Amino acid sequence: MTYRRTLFIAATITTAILIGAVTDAHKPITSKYTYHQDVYPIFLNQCGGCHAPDAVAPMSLLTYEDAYPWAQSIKEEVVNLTMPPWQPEYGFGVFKHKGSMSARQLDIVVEWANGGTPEGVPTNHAPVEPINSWSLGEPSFVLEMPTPFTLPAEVSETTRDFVMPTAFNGEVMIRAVDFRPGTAAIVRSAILYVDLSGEAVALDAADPVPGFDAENPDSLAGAQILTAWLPGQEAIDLDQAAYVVPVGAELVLRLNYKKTWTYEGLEVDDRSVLALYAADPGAARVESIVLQPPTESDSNDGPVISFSSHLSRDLDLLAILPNLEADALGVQIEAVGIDGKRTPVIRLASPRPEWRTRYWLDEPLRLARGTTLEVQAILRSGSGEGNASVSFTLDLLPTQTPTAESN
Amino acid sequence: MMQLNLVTALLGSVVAAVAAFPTNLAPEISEPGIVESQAAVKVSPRYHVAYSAFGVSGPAQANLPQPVIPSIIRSADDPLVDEGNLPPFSFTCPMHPEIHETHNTPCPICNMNLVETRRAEAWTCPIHSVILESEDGVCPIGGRPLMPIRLELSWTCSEHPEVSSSEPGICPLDGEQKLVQRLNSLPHEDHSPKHGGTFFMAPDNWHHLEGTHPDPGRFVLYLYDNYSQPMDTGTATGRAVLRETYNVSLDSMVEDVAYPLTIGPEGRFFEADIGEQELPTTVTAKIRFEPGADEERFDFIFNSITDDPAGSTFSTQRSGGLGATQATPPPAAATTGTLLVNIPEEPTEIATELAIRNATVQNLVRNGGFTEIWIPALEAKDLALALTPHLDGLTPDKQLPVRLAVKELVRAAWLLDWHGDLGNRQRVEAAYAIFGQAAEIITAAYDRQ
Repeated sequence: MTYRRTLFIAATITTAILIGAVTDAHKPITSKYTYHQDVYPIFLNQCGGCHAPDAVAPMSLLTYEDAYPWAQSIKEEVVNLTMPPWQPEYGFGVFKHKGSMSARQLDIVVEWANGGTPEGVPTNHAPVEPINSWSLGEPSFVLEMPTPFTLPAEVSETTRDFVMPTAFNGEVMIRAVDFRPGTAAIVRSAILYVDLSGEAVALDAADPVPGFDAENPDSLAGAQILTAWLPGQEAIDLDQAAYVVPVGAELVLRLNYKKTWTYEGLEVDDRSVLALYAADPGAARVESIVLQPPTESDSNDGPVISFSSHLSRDLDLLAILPNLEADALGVQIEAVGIDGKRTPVIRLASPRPEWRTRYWLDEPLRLARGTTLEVQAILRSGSGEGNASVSFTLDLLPTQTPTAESN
Repeated sequence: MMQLNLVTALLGSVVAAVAAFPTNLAPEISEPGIVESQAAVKVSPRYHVAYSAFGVSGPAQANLPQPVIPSIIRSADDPLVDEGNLPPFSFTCPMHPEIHETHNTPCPICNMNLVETRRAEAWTCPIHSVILESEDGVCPIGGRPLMPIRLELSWTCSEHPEVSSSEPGICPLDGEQKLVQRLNSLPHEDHSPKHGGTFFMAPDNWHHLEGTHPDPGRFVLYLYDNYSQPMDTGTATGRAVLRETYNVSLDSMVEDVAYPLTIGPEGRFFEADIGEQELPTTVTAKIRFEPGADEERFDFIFNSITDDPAGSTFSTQRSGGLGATQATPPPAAATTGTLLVNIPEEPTEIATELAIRNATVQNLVRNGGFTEIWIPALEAKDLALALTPHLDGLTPDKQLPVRLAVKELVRAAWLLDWHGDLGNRQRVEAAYAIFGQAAEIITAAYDRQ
């Protein structure tokens, strides 16, 4: 009840209101937090990966003038936990990357947005520069798209696969992948996958335009994914473990392009770049397994999907990549030990399939032989449950002796 | 059980209210002598043009009827504001009164040049907004506590209201008379009920409405604009829903008992004959403010028959009226409370205070006191935040759940603040489901349930 609070405060600290910077009819200044002193640092750390000038989000939040008109939207997104779009529920598993906002941060942002968006004392924050260096240092391989791709004026969104030129001699072990969009404002996501079939090269060659249409999502099914990048995300270094790129494999970069309104009707070029970091030949080989319903029909029984998988060896879980084609209220994985003890693995509330990324556990999770991984998804009712598909790709390391088998 | 846990965990997926902007604004002002239309003219460079188009909240919209700004003119010997101690200048947009800047920059919405304004603080009666006092006290009509209000202060000639000045002085048209103070209403400064009922704001931030239950068989709904000026029913339509049940196969609420809202005399309010109801009476008003607009819901819970201090609208009105003790006191402005909640030093005492706030919120949710929830909810949030530095004192198994619960409670408190204003029971209850669960986890960790 903004106005009554306002009235009270108006009656007690009149002068503070009168010297306030900006207010509006519904939002007289009641916030004790100001943009420059309190809110900017949160926006920079939590939102600046996307909401920066010329970045992928439709608005920057890094200047006061850019941010405050969005106060109502910011409040709605933040209190409903839809922004920042960090999907794993805090406390249900512990992950690398920065987490969601803390209680205090959320309170500061909402109070500011709700309480008149005061500017505070203008401060010259260091300009946010596009990142031009690789965060993990000098890469072993830098792969650039062979030619720029032009997103035509009349197309506002498309997904395109590009075969990346490699000159690998034999099998390569990759411990980290970094990605830098050519034109950050239109690159919404990037997935680098391994194509063993040779089909990608043929498709790319047959298409007169650079890359080929990623029409069929199945071309990714079963492929080893090396990275699933989203804007603002930092590369993860596996250090003593690595993904294996077999001899003769091609690396394919799938980019989702989407224009914000500022680019509508314009032709936009992109030439994105990948950095690969090779691991020592002795590094442990990451195995990827897919946790999925035993048969298609089992997964489509009403609004609840549940299935489980039994582990026959000791494994360390490194990361989880959700593969969701469902409008779900939530999905979760729990590990149930042979003693019945439940360990939360991951829970995604209102997951957004278009923001597919790999979630790295802060510490590998030891899954002893005999553990059951229980998956549960609750679909939003009326969301066409019958077509929903829910599975997870798990990246694991054998706990005991490394095995040669890999996916 | 598993499924239940996930569902509970996902209660956070409360649907956000989508604010639609108003498109139909035609308030009727019906108190001549109190309200005047402003057709200001530019007299000299010293006297800027007053806000002839003042008053549309939200995005500027073409072809809208412009509301008449309620304003009050004081006599020369009875100024509201001490002219030796004037409030400082600030700046506002002629088209967007919601813009209020300390510096003279272009309007961030329409880029127009801003104009000088002065905002004054005053005290007014909860129902009789014509009463303006410079200090706190009680209303001379009815004796209710005054509530603070902010107004736009300017000066005009007592004989020439078209003159508007941002400074006191002498009327330039006659060169003799002292300029008198004029106080213009600002949008959303007055959300107190005018008929002793419950006052909500619509999600469009423009319409406001007040529901009353003047006798056991009747529900009355008044519409207001964003200046809390009465509006006629216009093209709005709606129903008074008395009972809804959840239909599993449709996955939606189905109305079992609903009555049409019919238009009262001269279109001044809606009314519905709802049959003899026992208290507490729950009425959900479902309103479409204009054809084609989304239907909005407002949940009124009447714990008693409404006494309308503004006077009886109906012959069936029960006794009461001016000065009578209200059976259902209107949610008064927070003139006596404080949101600067005292934070005890000991975590257990903080948890105790939190438990008290939770009980208050729960009670308000149950009894439909939606517009009052924000006070205990936001106090509870500040108490919960004050616990976070103390979490290390808890046993390790309790630290994470409490940390998570604090965040849930903080966001749920803001949801309650937001949805409480809008009077949507479903959203309030969904927000309280998060709030109550979080409060319970926190207070249980300190054995202070």
